[in-house]
Amino acid sequence: MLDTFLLLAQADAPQQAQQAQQIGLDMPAWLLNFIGWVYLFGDPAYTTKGIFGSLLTWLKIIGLFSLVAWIGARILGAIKDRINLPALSGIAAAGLLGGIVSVLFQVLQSTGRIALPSVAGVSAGAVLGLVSMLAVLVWLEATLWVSMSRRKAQGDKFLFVVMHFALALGLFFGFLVYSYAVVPEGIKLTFMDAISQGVRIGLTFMGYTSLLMLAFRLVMEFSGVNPIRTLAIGWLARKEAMRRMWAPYVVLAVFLVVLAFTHWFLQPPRPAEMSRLFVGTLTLLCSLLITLMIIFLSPLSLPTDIQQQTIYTIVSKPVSRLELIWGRIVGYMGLVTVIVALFGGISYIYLIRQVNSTIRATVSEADSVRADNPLRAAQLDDQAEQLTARMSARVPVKGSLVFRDSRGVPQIKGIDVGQELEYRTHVEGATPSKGIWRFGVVSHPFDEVRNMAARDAGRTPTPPAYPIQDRRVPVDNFLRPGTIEYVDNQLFLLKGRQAQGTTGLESRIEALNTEKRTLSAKDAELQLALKNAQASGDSAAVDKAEAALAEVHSDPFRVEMSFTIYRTTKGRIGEPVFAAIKVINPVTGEQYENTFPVREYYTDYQLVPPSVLVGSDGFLNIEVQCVSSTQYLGMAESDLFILASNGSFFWNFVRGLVGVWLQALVLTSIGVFAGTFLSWPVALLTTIAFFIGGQVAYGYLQELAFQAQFGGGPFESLYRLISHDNQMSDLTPTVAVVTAKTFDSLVMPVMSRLVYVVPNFASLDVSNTVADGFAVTGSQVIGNVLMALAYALPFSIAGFFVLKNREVAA
Amino acid sequence: MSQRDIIIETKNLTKVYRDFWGRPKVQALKALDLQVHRGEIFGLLGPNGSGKTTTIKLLLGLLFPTEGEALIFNEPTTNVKKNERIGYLPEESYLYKFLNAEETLDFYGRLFKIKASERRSRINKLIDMVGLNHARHRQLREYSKGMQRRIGLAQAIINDPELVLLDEPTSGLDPIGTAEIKDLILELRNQGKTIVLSGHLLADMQDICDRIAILHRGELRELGRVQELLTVQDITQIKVRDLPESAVAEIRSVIERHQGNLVAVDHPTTTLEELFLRIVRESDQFPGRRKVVDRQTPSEPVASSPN
Repeated sequence: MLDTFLLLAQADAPQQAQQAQQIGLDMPAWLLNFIGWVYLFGDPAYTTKGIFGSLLTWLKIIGLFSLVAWIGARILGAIKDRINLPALSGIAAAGLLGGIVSVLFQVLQSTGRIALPSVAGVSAGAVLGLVSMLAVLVWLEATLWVSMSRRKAQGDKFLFVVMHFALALGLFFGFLVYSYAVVPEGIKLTFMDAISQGVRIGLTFMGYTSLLMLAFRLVMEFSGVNPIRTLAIGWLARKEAMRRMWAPYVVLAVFLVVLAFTHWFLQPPRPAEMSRLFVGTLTLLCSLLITLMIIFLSPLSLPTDIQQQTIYTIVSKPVSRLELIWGRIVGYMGLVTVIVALFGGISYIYLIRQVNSTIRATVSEADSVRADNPLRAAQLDDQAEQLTARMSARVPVKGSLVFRDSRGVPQIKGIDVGQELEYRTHVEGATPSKGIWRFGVVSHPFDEVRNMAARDAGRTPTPPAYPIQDRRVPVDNFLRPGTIEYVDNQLFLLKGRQAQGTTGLESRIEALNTEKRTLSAKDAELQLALKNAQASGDSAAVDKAEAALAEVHSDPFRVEMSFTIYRTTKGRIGEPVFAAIKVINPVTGEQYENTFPVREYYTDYQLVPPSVLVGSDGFLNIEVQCVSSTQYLGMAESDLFILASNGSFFWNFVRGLVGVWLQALVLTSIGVFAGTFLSWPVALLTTIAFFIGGQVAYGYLQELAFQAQFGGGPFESLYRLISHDNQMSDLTPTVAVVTAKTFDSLVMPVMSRLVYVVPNFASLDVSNTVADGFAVTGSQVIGNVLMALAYALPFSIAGFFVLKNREVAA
Repeated sequence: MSQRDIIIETKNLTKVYRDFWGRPKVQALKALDLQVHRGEIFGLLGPNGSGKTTTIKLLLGLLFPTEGEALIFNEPTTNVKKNERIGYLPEESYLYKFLNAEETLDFYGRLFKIKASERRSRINKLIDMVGLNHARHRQLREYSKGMQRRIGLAQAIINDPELVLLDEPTSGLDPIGTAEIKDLILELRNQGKTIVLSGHLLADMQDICDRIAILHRGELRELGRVQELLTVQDITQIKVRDLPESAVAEIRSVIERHQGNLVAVDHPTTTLEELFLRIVRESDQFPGRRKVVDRQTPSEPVASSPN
């Protein structure tokens, strides 16, 4: 119902009154508009599209979190202060009892065991619940107020009052809606609806106020942070790690010992896998050792300082609690930086020496056997090429994959050959079956398959139901200025714009035509020279002509593929399975076709003439079929890509190490945070639990968050355990079951949001991308940095608040 | 006394330690009211567990009061900025044992944002002053207790503080070390600094303190100038020179008649140790609060509470 307000609020103002009348609302347009905006800003679950909507949702969530934290902290304070209000205790006890009775009544009513009367259209159980809640609230508020007065916390008292205004404002809007709103069918909103909506809006407003106060306090605290002191604390943390814990030395010694024997136990399954295996293992080793070091350093430092009372001499100096926390993080991260650089440097030298020497040995062996055994030489060439490819940073442009099956019917997936764990699906050889990678601004595969079927049947495609994806080929990267293809592409685009009605392009088109004529004449001349040189057998002249021609033309672009083969018959021994590739420019119809033998476990590639890209505007279709009869080609979306560029392996390796560093940053923040309020063994276990949760069990936690698991929440699961019901069996709706489900419905939304407190460590690890020879892009690094900060900052700030309110000498 | 000259002020300062469940375990300090004035050496005396260290921790903001408040430089103790003007030597030398003397002082100097050159010169001066020149590069874990107290004291004054809080500064020191520390404290006082020290080595306190507060079981039992407190008011002591032997028995009545050279008529003083033991005994015999009058200004009660 309330969604209607928002829709109306977003509509044009002159239409609003009319629309309001149409749906039966008796209110002026400006009020309707205003309520719409209040609803947008106030309802925690409602938002709008785009960045504004995301920001608003983020603000609401953070606000509600800070509200919960503020109230929680005040309650803890009141408990510590032993606030006892005998006059109100009876009311609170009655409220609690009434609440339990209310839940019981409502459960009994929902299971049909009793029928409760209604009070003003509201169930008596709900009314009892409401009254009970109010009684508890009165007691709670009075207790908090007395506690704050006793602590002389004027700022908190002020915020407390403002929060009540915010809640009152929310309730006012709730009732405003209640007074005016009538849905088209003529059903009025109930009184409870108004309260519920008012409380939702009021809570969001309360969240904003507490967020403002939090932001103010943090700004004041941040302004007092001094880099000299922070670095001094960092220096101390580093010295402690080195002189008391000996951690860096232990870690370095273990690293060197493992590295010394790496070649004993690291045997690649195929020679070409060597670099992948080595990069992956060394990065893993580096990550593992640093993680272990941080796990044992960060949660121990503060508790030890408090336990040994050395913290007295620090906090009696002008050191803020934030400096105490950030200093430690800075110190440990300084240490991590040095160790990562050291490990990275040693690993890189080791890798380069090992892999390069292997490449050289493979190339020289290939050269030595080329005359006698060309097949073996070709295999060795492949190996060397694969090793070289993996020691680079390929930037892929990935398409969107759809299939046609053996009968040519569009499919979202290929043929399942029964390999359950294989994420690839297959196309059948010598049939119309094929995989189609689409590049450009493409619809989601689900939409595309539906539309392909519609087009096949001669029907009009329907609008997309899923988000459109931008998978355009960066044509400008491939077409070098000053080449025929570049000029052709520019001409094509300009003529396209001209055809659409853009004027004033004539001079540019003319200039491009002139350039094209010049280049074409030069091309014809060079082609002739090449032909003559080839005819005369003058290799130097051939090389010269080819080099000159390469200047006139853009380089061919590279399509890389790695397919698997599923064989239903052995076929002819020694004969490979063949695949056909067709690269189509859907705009101009220009095509490139080729058939090639599929190299299993290796990366195949095709060099496609740049002319295919001319006029494509980034749109391409690449179709791959299996040519060999009775064989199947296995493929997945990321198995084929256009190679946009080939970056430096060194910098890619560094970016991989940045991932390790970021993991350490998040873990350090968690460790230091845990140390602010836990003894060292518990803080250590907490840090380990966070790491395992974020590294190993994140998928499981996600399932928990999305409530995608069978067997219900904790209460229902407990019931199933006791009653020996399995996860799948339907439960009879007894009182116990309904009660369990009720509690689950209360607990699960909270639990599912708490899951996000655990950081996804695995997503920060990009070592596999590096090991596979793919570039870790700048945006990926920035994204990971932001994500790491999004965890490290809140954890450190939470630690600050804990430490600020903790008696370090107690 | 102007407000500016009151360096420390506690009002009804109370601390109750609680157990895990929040139940009161021990009342470490009960409604302490006192003032410490600029430029004096103020001693906090009391047996073990009397609340001396608790008081200092409350003053530094290491503990939060259960009731009442404490002000230093007229600012609440939770204000971190006030620490720039404070030096603190804890009860034990809670220093980082993995650092050497130079590193220790350099670290604490950095916490006060002292410039590197200034820091270096102060470190040299302080190490020299506490007599640790020979061990400046040794890690503190190799130091004796006395050496640790000395470096602890050096770190407490690295910032040239206005107020120095010394928790049992002479504990663990040999007689020579104790004498040196006492001289140093007097030197600091002469420089205009205010010093608060706690301890139970009474002779040391008697030597250097201007005023003392005696605490027992968390309560303030006595407060005032040392000299005032040690004067035995109900006894008059007359010192006479060249008095004939025959007049000794009737000294009071004949001094004037015999025109003897009356050198002094005063009250004898006891030792601080005797005073301290008397107060502790009386406290044990008659538990409960008692009215404490600051003997510095007898007409104005400094601390009072209902009995």
